[in-house]
Amino acid sequence: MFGKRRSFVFAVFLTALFTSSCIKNINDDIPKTEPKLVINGIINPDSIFKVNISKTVHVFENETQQNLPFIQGAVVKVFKDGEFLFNLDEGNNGYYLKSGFYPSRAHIYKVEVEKAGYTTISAETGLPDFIPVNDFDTTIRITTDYGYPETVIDCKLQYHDPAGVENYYRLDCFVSYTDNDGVTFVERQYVYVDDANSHLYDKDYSYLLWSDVLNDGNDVTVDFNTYVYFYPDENSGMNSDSVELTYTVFLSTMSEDYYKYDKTRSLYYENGGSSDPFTEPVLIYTNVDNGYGIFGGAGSDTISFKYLYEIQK
Amino acid sequence: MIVRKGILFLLLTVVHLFAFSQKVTLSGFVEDSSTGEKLLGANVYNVKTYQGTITNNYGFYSFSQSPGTITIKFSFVGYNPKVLTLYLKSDTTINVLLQPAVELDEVVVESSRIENAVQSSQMSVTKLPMQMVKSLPVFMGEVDIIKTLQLLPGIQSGNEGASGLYVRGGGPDQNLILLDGVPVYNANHLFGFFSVFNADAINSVSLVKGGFPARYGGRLSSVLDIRMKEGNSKEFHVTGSVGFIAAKLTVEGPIIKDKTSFIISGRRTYIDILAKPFIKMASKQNYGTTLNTGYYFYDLNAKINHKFSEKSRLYLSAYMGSDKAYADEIYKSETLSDEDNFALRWGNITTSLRWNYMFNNKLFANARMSYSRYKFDVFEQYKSQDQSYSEEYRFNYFSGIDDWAGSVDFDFVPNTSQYIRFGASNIYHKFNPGINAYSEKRTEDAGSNIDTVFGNNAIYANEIDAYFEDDFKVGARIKANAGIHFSGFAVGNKFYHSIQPRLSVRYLVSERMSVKASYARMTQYIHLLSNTSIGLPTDLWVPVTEKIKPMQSDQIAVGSVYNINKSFEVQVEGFYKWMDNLITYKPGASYFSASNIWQDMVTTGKGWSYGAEFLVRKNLGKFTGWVGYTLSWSTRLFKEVSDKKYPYRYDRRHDVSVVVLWKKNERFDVGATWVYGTGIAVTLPFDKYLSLDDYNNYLGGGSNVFSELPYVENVQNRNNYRMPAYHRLDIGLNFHKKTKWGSRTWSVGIYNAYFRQNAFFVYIDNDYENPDPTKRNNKVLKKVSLFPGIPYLTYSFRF
Repeated sequence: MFGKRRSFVFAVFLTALFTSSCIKNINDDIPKTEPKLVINGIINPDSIFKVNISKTVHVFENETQQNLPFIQGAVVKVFKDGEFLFNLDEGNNGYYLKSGFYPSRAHIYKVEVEKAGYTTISAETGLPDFIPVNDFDTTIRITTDYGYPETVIDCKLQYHDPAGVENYYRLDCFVSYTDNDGVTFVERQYVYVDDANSHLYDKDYSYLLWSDVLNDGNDVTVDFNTYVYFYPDENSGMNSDSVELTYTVFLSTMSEDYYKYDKTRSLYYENGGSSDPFTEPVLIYTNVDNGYGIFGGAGSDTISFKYLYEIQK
Repeated sequence: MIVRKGILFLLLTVVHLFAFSQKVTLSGFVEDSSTGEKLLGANVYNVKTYQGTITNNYGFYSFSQSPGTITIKFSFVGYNPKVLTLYLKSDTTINVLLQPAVELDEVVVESSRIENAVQSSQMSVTKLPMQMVKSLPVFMGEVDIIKTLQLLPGIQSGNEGASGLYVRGGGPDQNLILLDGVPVYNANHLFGFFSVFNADAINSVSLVKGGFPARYGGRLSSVLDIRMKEGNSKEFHVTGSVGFIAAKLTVEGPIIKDKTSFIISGRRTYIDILAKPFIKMASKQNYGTTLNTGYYFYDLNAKINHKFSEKSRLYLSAYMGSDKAYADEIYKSETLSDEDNFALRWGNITTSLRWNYMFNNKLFANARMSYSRYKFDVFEQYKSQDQSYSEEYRFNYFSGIDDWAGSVDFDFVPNTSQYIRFGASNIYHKFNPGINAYSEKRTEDAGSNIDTVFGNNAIYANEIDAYFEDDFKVGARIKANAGIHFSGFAVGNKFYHSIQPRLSVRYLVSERMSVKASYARMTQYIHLLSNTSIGLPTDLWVPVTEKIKPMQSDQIAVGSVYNINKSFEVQVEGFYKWMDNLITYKPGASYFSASNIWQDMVTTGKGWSYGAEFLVRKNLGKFTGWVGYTLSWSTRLFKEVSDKKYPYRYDRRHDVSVVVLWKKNERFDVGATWVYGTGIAVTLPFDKYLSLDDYNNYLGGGSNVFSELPYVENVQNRNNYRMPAYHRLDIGLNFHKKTKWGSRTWSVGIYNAYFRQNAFFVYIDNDYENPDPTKRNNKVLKKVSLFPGIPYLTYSFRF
């Protein structure tokens, strides 16, 4: 809280200083760099093998959904433990996949991407061990922390961290509901931890991210909470008195590369990219040789529970 | 091994001292005849043999001579020299008074050449004559010694208008800033746009940027040694000035003539006072709310000294300075009263009690006890009251450092070929890296009242230093300064220590030219968690810990000094410095959260800096000044930031300064400075790419469509972009006049005379101002510029 207050105070004084200043565009534009290929793909044993291939664009490039820089016609080779397996088939929007092929643990997978006019890129990863959720419990409470009543679901998730190996974890929660027409909507559900526990996590806002450095080989309990919100889509035709919300919690284990990428990317988003001159810039981690992005491995155990939400009329 | 050889070498030189005999020693003090101020660095030499010495930081000199008649010359820049012929048959003490020269003529300059840059064994040192500092154009009318130092090769200013010091690729925390021997931890007023030193109270300024003598330690990159005036011991004087933003007043004089004198000097800004009526007027129209807001800084220097005898003198000096920004908001109605008070304060206090004692003609001692404090404090209080209910919140945050120190230093001059210094010191540090106090009171629910203190615990540490240094001649051409500095630092259960060899050698090629070389190792036990762009008062001094080791640097330098003629002097120096255990914020760390667990926010790494410095200086005539040029490289490697070396933010390939002073006559002089520097290295993304789409990962990715535009900007390495080059011209005119009551000066000038819009920082944003609405969503690079041409007018007086 105080950090924000100080930021505000300094912002006021610096703004006062800058009132005598001026802001101008610099004609000396940022240099143009050669576009490079980008891999985005997290493989897991429960999904088919799929990666997305795109390219870097100049930082001033306009951002629209229509001009996303996907790469078409690339040759994407997959290797397993150093041996060539197959080329991925091209799908839509830069995705390359192999139907019916599910990666398995205890192997190293490598992808190599070739495209005329670009430097060939490659990356490799393995799948982390599956770690099951041993116990999960919820408690519902009402809070007035922000001056009005809100429903909070306190959750306790327990797992056992295997000893002697480095493990990396991520916890996500999604909420889904089905409208009167039978259409299911899914949204990310933000999760939070108490201030006293926030030091345990590399990221503790919207989802949790942590490594086992503090609890290697232990039974671990993750205490988190989430708020109950329901803002139905305008076209969902919700006219009942209540709706059943389904919460799905993902406890994922991650490969080390994926964890590093996710940690730096989270920091990047928290700091608003390059827009804050008072924050040290974040270089997002990549394990892609000659390119950018991430090719990582993950596996998840999921827990679902339901909550009957009464619609205020 | 090198250290052992160094110690052996020193032992041999000590033994060598006692081989001399049958000499008599001449010693004493050299003073200003009109004020009684000691002259530091004055030359004392035998006019026939050209053997001699210079006065130390207390104006003391001592040199030995064979018995008999000798002619001695005493000289100092800006003073008429004095020649005495004496018959010496035993050790003799002579205190000499030099008269200030009306004009800096040939005799005055030439006579101070005996121990000038050519002759001295020390290299990489700069001394600033205070008279010159006051003649140069200034920022907003405020004379600033640190800004003048920034005009010299190897010393950079950092950002626009800033008072930071970046010496030979080092950071702003790597400078030991001493005021009368006491460290000053935050030398900035107003977010770094002014330094805390009031030029009216300063006697001498010297900055060492390499080849550090063994008596200095504790910082990697420079030692800025500032000595306050002692106060006129002959008569009372008042000096003052009134400028755009601040006024100054200095009073000095004897308490007991020629025995006890004092000086007290104060400065305060008054923008808050001038703006008060306008703020009040504006806030009256604001629905019954009164707003009182402002900012000011002040500083106060005071010193008193007493001469017990010719051998013994006591000095008590103090400095206190503070910045305060405040905002009070008061709302009152018939039923409700609301009051919100907010203040931000920061400042230093230093006090020093020193005792000089001359044991005999060869041994001089100085003992010191001192206290130094820097404190940053934020305060907010909110009170609300109506007829039935009241509540009150109060929040305090403070951080800072307290030092209690004691030291003893000896100067031993066994003969004309040697000058030995040795001593030891101890500093007890208390670091407060961020403490919060919070209280909450309500008339309702009094049981839930809160009164608590939380934050980082204070850290206590002890720092010890000891040194031995010998400045000696080997034959007619070689002079060396060799020494050892030992330091130790105890914090928690950890004790760090370091042995730092120092060596500086001069070879006299001719009377006009010398070549020099030096090596110095420095160790630093305290770090500044600092914003890298501007000097915010939240910058936090923290000690080494078990996790964060001491910083260390090694520097070698080679150079040459050549006096072309009586007027011109050329200095060339090359340096290579490598540094270890530097700290920087980890990626993503925010400067504003420095009060959090600071050790987790920083990472350690290495740094390298090398380059060449050129200085051509004209000391004589109506035109004086210099041209300085530095060509340098400075890089950093922090593994947690990047696996590649990257340029330091203040890596400045080219740095040029031109300083010209033209003194038409006693009534009028003009000063102009022009500076040019390669743009500051900042971090900017050059391109961007799509990042991982979480929805597809977690929900099966059935749609194969990116659900949003998850671009991330790609920063290839830190400090990968150069801001536009910086350049600026300042011009100042001084009109002096003798009056019936004393003298006065009108100073008028302009900072940034050709209105160059130098970039203070740059950022990427939408082109909102584009006249074509369809292009307003286009991204462009923008720069923020400060100070586009700031005139000043200052009135100074002395009587």
